[in-house]
Amino acid sequence: MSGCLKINITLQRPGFSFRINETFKPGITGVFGQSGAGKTTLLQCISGGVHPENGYISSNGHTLFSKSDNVNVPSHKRRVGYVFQEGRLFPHFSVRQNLLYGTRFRKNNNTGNALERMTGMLNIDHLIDKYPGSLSGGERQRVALGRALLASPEILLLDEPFSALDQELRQQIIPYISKVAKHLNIPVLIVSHDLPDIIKLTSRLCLLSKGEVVAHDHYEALMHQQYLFNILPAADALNSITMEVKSVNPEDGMIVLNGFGEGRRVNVTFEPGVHNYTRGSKMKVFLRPDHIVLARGRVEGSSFRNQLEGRIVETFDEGPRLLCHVDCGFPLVAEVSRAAGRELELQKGTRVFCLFKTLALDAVQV
Amino acid sequence: MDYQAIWLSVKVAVFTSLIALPLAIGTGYVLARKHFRGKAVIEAVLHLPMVMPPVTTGYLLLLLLGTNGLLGSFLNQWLGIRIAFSFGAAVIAAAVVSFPLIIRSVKVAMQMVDPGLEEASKSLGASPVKTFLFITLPLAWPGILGGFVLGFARSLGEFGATITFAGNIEGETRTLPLAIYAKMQVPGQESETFLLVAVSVVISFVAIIGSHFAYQKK
Repeated sequence: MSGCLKINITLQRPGFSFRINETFKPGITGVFGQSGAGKTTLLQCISGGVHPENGYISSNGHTLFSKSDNVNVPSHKRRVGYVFQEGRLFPHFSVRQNLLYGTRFRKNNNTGNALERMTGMLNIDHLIDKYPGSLSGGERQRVALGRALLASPEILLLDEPFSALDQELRQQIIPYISKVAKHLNIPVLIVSHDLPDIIKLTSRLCLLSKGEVVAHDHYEALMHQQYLFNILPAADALNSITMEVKSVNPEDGMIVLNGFGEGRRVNVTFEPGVHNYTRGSKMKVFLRPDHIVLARGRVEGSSFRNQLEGRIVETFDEGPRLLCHVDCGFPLVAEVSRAAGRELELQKGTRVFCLFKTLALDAVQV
Repeated sequence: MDYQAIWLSVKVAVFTSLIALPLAIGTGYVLARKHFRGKAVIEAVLHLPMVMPPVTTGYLLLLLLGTNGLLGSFLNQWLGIRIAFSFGAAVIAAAVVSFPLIIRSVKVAMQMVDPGLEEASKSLGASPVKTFLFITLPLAWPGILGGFVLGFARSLGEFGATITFAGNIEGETRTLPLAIYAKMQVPGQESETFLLVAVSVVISFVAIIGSHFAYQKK
């Protein structure tokens, strides 16, 4: 398939064996796994920093590595853009020089326009003559992203691009990555151990565990597999639901979302003036399983704005917690204590109400 | 005043630094970035002239490059080149003694450059040579310059290895320290000696200040 990144490699290290056979399509794929799962090894094999023992790597039909054909393209000829955790901007160059660095070595670049477009898109045009030392963490990451993109990569790798940023800056940079990725038609692999950040960017996930890919699918499908919870810290699991804006109430700062039938309404708060939502636009709503309360009946006289009726389709015992997969017209995973599950007799087929506060929801426009 | 000795010293120091610097940059880079078997031994050998008595260094150079030396006899017999007791010998003696100082400075400067920046440069399409020229070298430059100045100053002051390997030939190998020593042996030359000492102090002071500023630019 054109534009695809194909990898079929093995690598042995003392106490660690790495084996992967995957195809990454153009668009963002989140690579997720606990530390030591092989996320960075995967990126380094693609970029040429680490040489696999066997197999091949090809990008857009070009072989980057092939043991059998004795091909190993050096990293500077691979056209693999790499955005590092700490940005790694060159301190002796201005932002402009950093951004244009890659264009010196790669021809066929419409530099003038490309630079303006990129700085505009990443909102860094006002920083162009500054030096990296005077930039904030978020600005540095945006420049690093722009620098990698201006070198016209055929693959873009982002290695923990959020980890050096605080929560607020993360929320700032995520839309930029999202916006930039939409303009590209290349495989973008974003590594993170923070699942909520990844799934705000993409629903396509590649899960790594102990050097192997355990799943490569859409998050919504993976959410209902038990092994996701085996490799996920409890706090990282997140329900992700795509819904449509039904009505907007700026006075209360509240929007009502609709999805999967008339009765499936969800209330979400927003800041009027900061965000503008229009009726009919699509939104992705995120909700942690442990923020959902399960009840056997509707609860009257409470502050829960959201009460969705559904039926348990599956339960999983996870130590002291019980994961209930509920069909509310759309799939939802709720987490309760095992004791609560026993008292409420929660099991496959039980009808329940999923209760959650409006403030527990996180929503982004898609 | 013995301008000839001052001029000769400066000439020896300039030649020495210009020969030693590129070698030190190459060696310093290899020592800072590459890992290989026997690296510690090579480093120890390179640093020997820094701790050995300079006379010993001069003597070993004589054994190697003297007219009857291991390499010297070959050069003399087949190519008619005689190194010992010539201007070239003074340069070689000063270079060997100051080389470890320059290497040390260059190696530390290169170790301070984040290898991650070199990796980033390669990911942007720069070959290893271009990465070295555009990233490693400019970032390590203050330290390299500092090493250059230190090496320059050390060659100006070189005495033991020079007098052993290059002799004390006026106009050819009699550098500033050798001239001071020669003048000290002759009664009535105290003021002349003092002037040369003063010049020597000024040059050393300027070199140290220069090295300090080079480091500060970091």
